[in-house]
Amino acid sequence: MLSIRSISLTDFGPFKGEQRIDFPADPGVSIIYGENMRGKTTLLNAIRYALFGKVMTRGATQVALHQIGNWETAKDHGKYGFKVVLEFENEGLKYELTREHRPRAGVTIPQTDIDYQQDCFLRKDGQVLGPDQRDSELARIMPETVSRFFLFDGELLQQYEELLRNESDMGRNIKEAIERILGVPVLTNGRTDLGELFKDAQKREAKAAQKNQKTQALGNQHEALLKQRDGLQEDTDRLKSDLATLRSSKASKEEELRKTERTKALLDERARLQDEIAKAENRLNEKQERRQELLTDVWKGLLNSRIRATREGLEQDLQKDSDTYQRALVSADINEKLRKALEDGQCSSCGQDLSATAKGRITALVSETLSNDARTHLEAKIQELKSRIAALKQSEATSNADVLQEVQDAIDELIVQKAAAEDRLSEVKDQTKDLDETELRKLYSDFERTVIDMGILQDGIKKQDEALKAINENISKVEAEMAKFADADLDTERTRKDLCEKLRSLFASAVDAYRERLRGRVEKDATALFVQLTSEPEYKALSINDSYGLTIVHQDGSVIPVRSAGAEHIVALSLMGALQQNAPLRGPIVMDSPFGRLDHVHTTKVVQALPSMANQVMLLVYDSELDPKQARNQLQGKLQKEYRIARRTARHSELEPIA
Amino acid sequence: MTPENELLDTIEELRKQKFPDVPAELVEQIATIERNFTENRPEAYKRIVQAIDTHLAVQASGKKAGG
Amino acid sequence: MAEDKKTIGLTDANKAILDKVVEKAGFKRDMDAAKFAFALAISRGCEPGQVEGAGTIWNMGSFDEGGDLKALIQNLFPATDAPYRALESLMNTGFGLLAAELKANPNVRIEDLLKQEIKAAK
Repeated sequence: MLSIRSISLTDFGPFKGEQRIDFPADPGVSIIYGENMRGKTTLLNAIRYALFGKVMTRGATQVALHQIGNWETAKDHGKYGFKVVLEFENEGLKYELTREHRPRAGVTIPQTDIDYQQDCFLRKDGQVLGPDQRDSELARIMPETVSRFFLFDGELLQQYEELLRNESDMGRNIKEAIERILGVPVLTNGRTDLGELFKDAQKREAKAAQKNQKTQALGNQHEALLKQRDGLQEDTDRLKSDLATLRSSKASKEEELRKTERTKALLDERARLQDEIAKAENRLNEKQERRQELLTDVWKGLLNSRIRATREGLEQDLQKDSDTYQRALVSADINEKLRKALEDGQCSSCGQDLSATAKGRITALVSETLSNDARTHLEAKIQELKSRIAALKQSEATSNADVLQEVQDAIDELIVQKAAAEDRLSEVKDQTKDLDETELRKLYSDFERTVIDMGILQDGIKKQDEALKAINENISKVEAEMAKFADADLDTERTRKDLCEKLRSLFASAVDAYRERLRGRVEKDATALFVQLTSEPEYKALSINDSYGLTIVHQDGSVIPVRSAGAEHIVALSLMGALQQNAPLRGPIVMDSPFGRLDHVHTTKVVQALPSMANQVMLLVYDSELDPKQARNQLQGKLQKEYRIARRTARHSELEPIA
Repeated sequence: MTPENELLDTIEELRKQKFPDVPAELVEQIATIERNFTENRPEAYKRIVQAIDTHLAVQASGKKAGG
Repeated sequence: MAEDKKTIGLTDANKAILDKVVEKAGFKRDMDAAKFAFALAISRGCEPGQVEGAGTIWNMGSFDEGGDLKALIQNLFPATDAPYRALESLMNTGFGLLAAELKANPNVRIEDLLKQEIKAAK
């Protein structure tokens, strides 16, 4: 187990000159206090630099190394470069690791990374190791891929949520790192290596068979089949590798698509609105044309009542004149008879002579009747009235006021609809104005293309697997035939082959079995730690998935699907602790600002749990994040060392032990 | 059980169950090689070949001696 | 008998109202608006009279193609011996009425006026 004894820095970041922190051998917690920008993250980076030759920003991007040297040393003394010396122990052996960046010969004022050279020495129990051995040793003690579990930035704990999402690049990387730290590669690599050994053994068996006349033909056949199989396997491996690449590409495209979902929805909405507005405009134009047509004749409706009144008046006159005329017609006939009676002096009906009185009465009557002229005039008047009435009737038009109103209502509604759509379109256009639509559409079509290609590859792989199965069967048949022949060399190779196959099979079975055990243990240990760290009594446990992602389980058995940054923090810390407990590879935990997102209660719980999480814990915190008095109270005997990073100038910090 | 032991224990349990004739020491040797050379695969492969060769040679000479 | 007019028009003030009405109500042609004004005047019981200062806008050949309007005016106002003169007078009166309507409610709509008149007529 890796345990750091001291860190010495020379002109590294704000740590001007030579400065050192010592750590005791006893298990426990060391705390380094420092305000923002004093150099806490730089200390974490010093360890990272010593082990891997890299310095990272908080966003996990690499920093150019020529920027690391202390600014004041360079300005005041013209001295460039920096150095870190890490003293540590591992499996009872003492190590001293020195890594240094110096300006190259001939460079007075280095400006880029190229102007520097890097030197790295590793002493193991006093002996300096050669470069290959050094690298191999360091990779064995602390592989870079798992450093995230030992040197971590509290700000980046959210990454562990990716484990809950299968197939994301980040999630896969973290899963691989977890399995690495838990030792799974011992088995997976063993499986691969033994598989290769087995194939090699088969080839040797073929060669041995070829040497013996009795088995030569079989040997040749065997060799040919093995070559064929190798070819098939190569193709299959290539297809699988392509599929893995596509899978990864699909995952990252999905991530992109997820980010662009909102954008696509906006673009779709924009297209829909534009269509809606165009349709509304068309309908509006139609309605407005119709309205104009209706307006052309609307004046006629206004006249209806007047026309009707006039017509009714005329009809009354007509009635009166018609009656008069009728009466006139009847009386004309009688009049003729009376006039003849006057002329004859006799009644035309009874033949009696008319008296003087009777003549007088008849004369009066005759003078009352209409003259022919008057009758003709009346006739004409009646005709005129009739034609006027007819003309007025024709002029009466149905009022289209109702239809006009309907059309106007429809127009009003369309105007409102169109205005609302235009408002919304304007908003959407504003939100999409800086968008590169071609890029977006390309993303969607690329994604679809990827899915199709994956399907094709999967089909191809399936066919390859079937072909491999068939050829392996043939190989087995040939081997079974060869086994019937006794031959010392053949026997030796067969024994080797059988042994390799058994070993391969053993390691292969062990992979799944070990993963199962590990997941069970990690889940159990993470739960135990989580229950200690959380203040929520209803959170009962953590549940682990295939990628070591942890979900919180409520006491009622349901899972908590979404969690706050604080909860994520606690879950991630629980995972860290569980991995430390179950990993064959162990080391110190160095935490930079681990309590940033935690409230006082949770901070207390984490501090109390720290000694159980790892043998050696180093905290890089600021005062308001963790109160020194509180820390001392809670950790008591487990608190090993305290340091403060004190400010001298903006570019010069000093490590001061706190007594 | 320590984590290192957990891994060896898993393999050993399976060995006893499925491949009792495969020697335990050889299995442990291979696992240790893989653990020590996880970052150096060519070296791991080379050492495993040596381990198996050695084992087979010992086995063969043991047979001869046994007669 | 005074000779009837062959062209009719509006006073300057009424021409302005015509333009406003055509724009606001959306009449296809100004002739349609003119007929509307004329009809409105009749609906409100106005009688033909004299108009001073009416310019020349429309030719009766196109305004009253077929002569239906003339026949109608003669029917409604048998006393008049110059139907087109009567038409011009009623038209101008009608625009006067429309001006009043617009003054009372600048956003008045043709549809509302129609409804009003039809209701009043009942």
